[in-house]
Order: sequence, then C-alpha cells, then structure tokens
Amino acid sequence: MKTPSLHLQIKLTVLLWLCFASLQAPAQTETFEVGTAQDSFSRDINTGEWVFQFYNPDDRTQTKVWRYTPRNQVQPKVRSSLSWAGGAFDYRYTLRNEVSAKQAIAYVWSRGWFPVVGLVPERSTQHVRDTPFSELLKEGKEQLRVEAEIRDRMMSKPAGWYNKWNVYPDTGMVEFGWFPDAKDDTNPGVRPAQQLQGFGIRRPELPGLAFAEMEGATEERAIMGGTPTIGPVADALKQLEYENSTWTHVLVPAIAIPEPWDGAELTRRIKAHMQNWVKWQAMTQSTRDLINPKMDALTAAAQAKDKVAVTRLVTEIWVDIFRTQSGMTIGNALEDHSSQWQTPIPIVRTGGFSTLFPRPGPQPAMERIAARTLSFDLFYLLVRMQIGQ
Amino acid sequence: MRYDDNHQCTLNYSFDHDLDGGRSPYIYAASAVVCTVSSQPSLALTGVTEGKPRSTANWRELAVTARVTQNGVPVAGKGVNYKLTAKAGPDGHDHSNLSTKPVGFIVAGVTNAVGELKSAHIPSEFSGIYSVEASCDGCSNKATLDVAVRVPDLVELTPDAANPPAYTLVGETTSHGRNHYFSVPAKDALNLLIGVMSGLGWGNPGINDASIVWGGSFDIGGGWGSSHGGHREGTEVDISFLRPGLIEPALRQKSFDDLKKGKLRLSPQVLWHQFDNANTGSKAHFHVYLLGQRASAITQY
Repeated sequence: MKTPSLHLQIKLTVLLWLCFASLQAPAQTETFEVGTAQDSFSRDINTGEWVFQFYNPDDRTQTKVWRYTPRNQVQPKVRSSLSWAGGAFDYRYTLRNEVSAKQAIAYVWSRGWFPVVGLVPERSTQHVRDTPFSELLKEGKEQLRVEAEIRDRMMSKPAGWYNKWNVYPDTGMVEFGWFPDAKDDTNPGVRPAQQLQGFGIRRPELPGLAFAEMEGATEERAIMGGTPTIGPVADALKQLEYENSTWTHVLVPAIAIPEPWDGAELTRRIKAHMQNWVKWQAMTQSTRDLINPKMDALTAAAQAKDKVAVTRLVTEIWVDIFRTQSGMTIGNALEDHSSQWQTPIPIVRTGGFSTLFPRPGPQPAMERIAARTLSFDLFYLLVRMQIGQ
Repeated sequence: MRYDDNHQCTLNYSFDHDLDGGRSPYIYAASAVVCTVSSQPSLALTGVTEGKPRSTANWRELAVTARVTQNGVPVAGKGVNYKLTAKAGPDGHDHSNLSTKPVGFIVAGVTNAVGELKSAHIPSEFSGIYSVEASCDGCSNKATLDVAVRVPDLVELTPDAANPPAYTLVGETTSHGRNHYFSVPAKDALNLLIGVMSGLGWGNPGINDASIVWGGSFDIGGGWGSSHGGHREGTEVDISFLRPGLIEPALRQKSFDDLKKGKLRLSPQVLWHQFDNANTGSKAHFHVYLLGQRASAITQY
C-alpha cells in the first residue's frame, strides 16, 4: 500500500486531533452560541421596542432582560439639489425629521465615487518600526490635519456638526457623512419637526445615486455579544440590526466626465452606474431592460458623433423615464431636484418580521430621484455633443 | 565526549605542571582517543523551531522529525514518543505556573523505512518557549528541541513622555505587566486613532490591553484561561472609559458612531463593551479592531 504523503499525514493527524477535541466539547445545544429553549423575544410594532430575555445555559436561575428600540425611529426626508458653480457641481442636502419621529437624526452617512488628491501617503512599515511613537503622533496629527483641510474644502456642514470620510483609493469610492458635534451634549442631531440645511459636497463628477444611511440618537444601551447566533432569537437579533438604520436615496458625485471629452465613454459610465439601481431599489428590472438597449444605441451614436441620433435617443429615454413620474417633463426635470423630498426605501421583509419603515407598498418603476439623475446626466451629454466638445 | 549518535569517545591525556612553574595545567601528552560503539539505537530530533500560537491568523502546525539509527544504520518500526514542556521565556506571561500551561500536542508514531518519524506539532495557543523531548524504547538517549511559539514582530507602545501626554497606558497587572504590544500597522493605526479621539474630546485616551510581548492567548486572570480572545496579535486594543478620566455616556455614544463609520484610512472597527462584566471583572470599554477586522454582527455592539 502506498504511504500517504507527509502533508496528508499531518492533515489526517490534525483532523483526528480535532475530532478528539470535539468529542470533549459539550453537544451543540443549550450553549451560549445556540442559547436555551427558554430564550425569548417580543416586539411592539407600534413603538418598535424589542424585548429579549436570555437565560444562562449553565445556570437557568440567571436571566437577563434586554430592551432596545432600534435607531430607525427617525422620519427622515432628504432634498438633494445640484447646481454648477465655480468649476464644480455643488451637491446640497436638506434634512427634515418629521414631527412624528421619536428620535433625532444622529448621523448621516453616504458614499460617492471620485478621487481625492493631496492626502499624506501612508507610512511604510519600516518607517513606523524605526520612528519613535512620539514622532509618529506628530506625523499622524499632521496627516489628520491635511486630510481635514482637504475635506473641509470639499464638504460643507451645518453649525454644530462635523464631517468625516473614508477614502478607498483602490476602488475610487469615498464614504462621507456628518455627525453632530461629539463635544456638545446638547446637540443630539436633527430633532423631530426640525429641518436642517448646510450639508454639501463640491465635486466635478456628474450625479449618480447612493443611499444616505441615517440613525437616530438613543440613550438605550445596545447589547455586547454573547447572544445566540443560531435559531429564532438569533434571527430576531439580525433583523434588529438590519433595521437599526434608515436608507434614503440621494444624489452624489459618481460619474467622472471623460478627459479629454469622449461622449461615448460618458454614456458607458452612465450605463455602468445605472446597472446598480435595480439592486438599490431605485429602478425595476423591466425599466432597466427598457433603457439599456437605448443606452447602447446612444453609445454608438456618440461614438459616430451623430448629433441627430444622439438627440433622438436621449429624447426617447427621457420619454421612457418621464412616463414613470407624475408631472415630470423636460421643462421641469432639471429643477425638480430642489423641490422633491426623498423618503427612506421600504426594506424587504425577512423572517416574517413586520418592518417599521414609512413607505410600504409596491416599488415604483423608477424612483423620482433616479429619473432626475439620469435626465440630468443625459442633458449634460446632449449639451456637450451640441457644443461639439 | 559524544561526537555522533553512536560513539562515546574519550581523550586520554596527562598534564605537566612544570613547564611554567606550575601556574597552568598544560597538556603534556595526548595519548589516544578511545571510542566505544553504542549497542543501543540512538535518537536525533530536527524540526521547525519557531511558529505562531494556535488560533492566531495563519497559524500552522509545525513539523518535527525524529530519526532513529544504530551504528549509523536507520532503524525502522521504532516507536517514538514526545513530551512537551513549557519553559520560562520572554513571552510576557509574568505568572510562573508553567506546570499547568497548555503546551500543545505532538503526534507519536513509528519510524518508517529510513528510520524517520515526521510528526505534526500543534502549538499551544499561548506564546512561550516549549521544549520538545523525543524518546524511544531501548534508545540510548532522549533528543530535545526548543520551539519558540510567538506572534512575530510585535512592537511595544511606551508611555508618552510629553506634558500633557497624548495618551496614557493603563491595565498593567502582575500577571501581564507588558500589555501594550502591537503589530506595526496596528501601531500606526493607533497613532491616528489617538488623534481622532483627542479631536472628539477624549483628552488623553487610556490605552488598555493590546497584546503581550509575544502575543497569543491573553489570559487576563493569569490562569491559562481563554478570556480576552481578541488580544492575540497586537491588532486589537481596549480603550478605557474610566482611566485616566471618566468618559461620559453621551461622548461614548457619539464616539462609537464616529469610530464605527469613520474608518480613517486604516479602517478601525469598534466593539463597544457597554456593560461591566461581572464574570471577568472587566469594566465597560471600547474594543477597537485597529485594522478594520470585522467583528461578528452582534458583537459590534
């Protein structure tokens, strides 16, 4: 018989060893991972409050009741506006928290796709290893100062708020958002019935869509693990986390204008971005299937620099998307951004749990903000094609 | 003098004390080397002498090879047993109860046709120096090999001498007096984190446990238990709410939101231990994943 290789022998040994080890472990019932049969949860659909009761698997006399109201008890509305000023697009956001909200909006977090230049390069491992930490702290402070300076030039914020971002150079994505000042205990965020403007970002990229994730201010303590990870109680905990924030579509800088100018390339970028919209619940699959072939034809027409065909195809797409929006025409489409409030998307029900989101009902063929985004980007294409550069 | 596995040799010599007036014992005459050939098999041990503690990232079983020969000829079919012993070392475990330290595991076996037994050495989850001793029935000797089990390249964070300091080291205990060791990238991430927390209004944050000198399982109580599981590789650190000064709950909440979403460029993630833990005596604190390692969904809270 052939002798197993050393590698295989070691693997078999480890396997046997692990099997031995697992035999020593208690069965996978009634553990902290699985919980106990007595663990329970309930939910008040009116208040949103969850009540969990956990029992110590090792000692059933020990029990803990945990009450938590998710941080989705906000009623946000977002108005995205867009204007060209001083060589860049000025993206502005106004937030409103409806009077019926039970929590103040405590943070706003979104994402766009654009490069950030001028950041301090990350230190090399060798440098970090060789440099005293006191010197690294100075370098780190300078790095943060430079980054904040760039960010403050790009992003505006209301009084009492600060901005923040995460830059991902590898993917070109930038997460950005705003938080109420951490040092000010009196400012929990946008209170119910309050409206706040001053959130903004200036970028040369054309608009695309993203979500603004928002959560409410809470003083309730969240739980810190040790809870079951399998079973109905675990499912309820996952649902709780899933619903712990609200998600609202906003306009964000997303589509870089080709430099040098290339209309066909721009149409390709618009179409590529638009492919995410079904997943992001901004457009139905059938609407995308309707528009995609026309976008392909538009690319060919732009490639051929056929202005007539480009105009005809853009018009056709406009008609398709305006048809999905009550009252929207080419005459008001470009200004419509500033008058429309976007509300959080309804989330898909999971595990049979009722959700608390404020916009139930069938999904529209296209979110209004998506229609505005696409109409704006196509208008830009048309203008550049007409002026011939 | 033993100069190979199978020969025990002796040098016969005598001294002449008169060459320098009796001050030094000069060898006068080296007459002969007398060697005897062992009649028993002998054992030699080779293998990997450094590896990562079990349960750290990319840990691997280590390989050891026992070789049994007699008069230079391999001995097949010889049963070899192993014994692992923990030795004192500069690993950062300052508790001296080595006799109860989990030492890992090596698979015993039988030599093959070329007199060798290649075995897997499953290292301990605790860093340290471990002596591997191999023995076989009827062999003339036992062979030993010291293995260092450690997370390599951890660097220490020392106290900040500035006035006022940018941070304060806390959490040293008699069991683990050196609890501020980091991987190099994590130390740089901590550098930025300190700047961010200072900006949020923390003053000089209290830097509690990171990892011990050689990493591996960090048994807070010093009893070789498995608590403090994340503090193995110098990439996770606890930030105190209580020392050097009290951090109020409102600032904890806002800082959590900030740190959870704002990842700097080095992506720290935060697990917020909001409650004191009566079982471990641990007080509420932030547990920060300095390199953005994702905690499980629920334990992010």
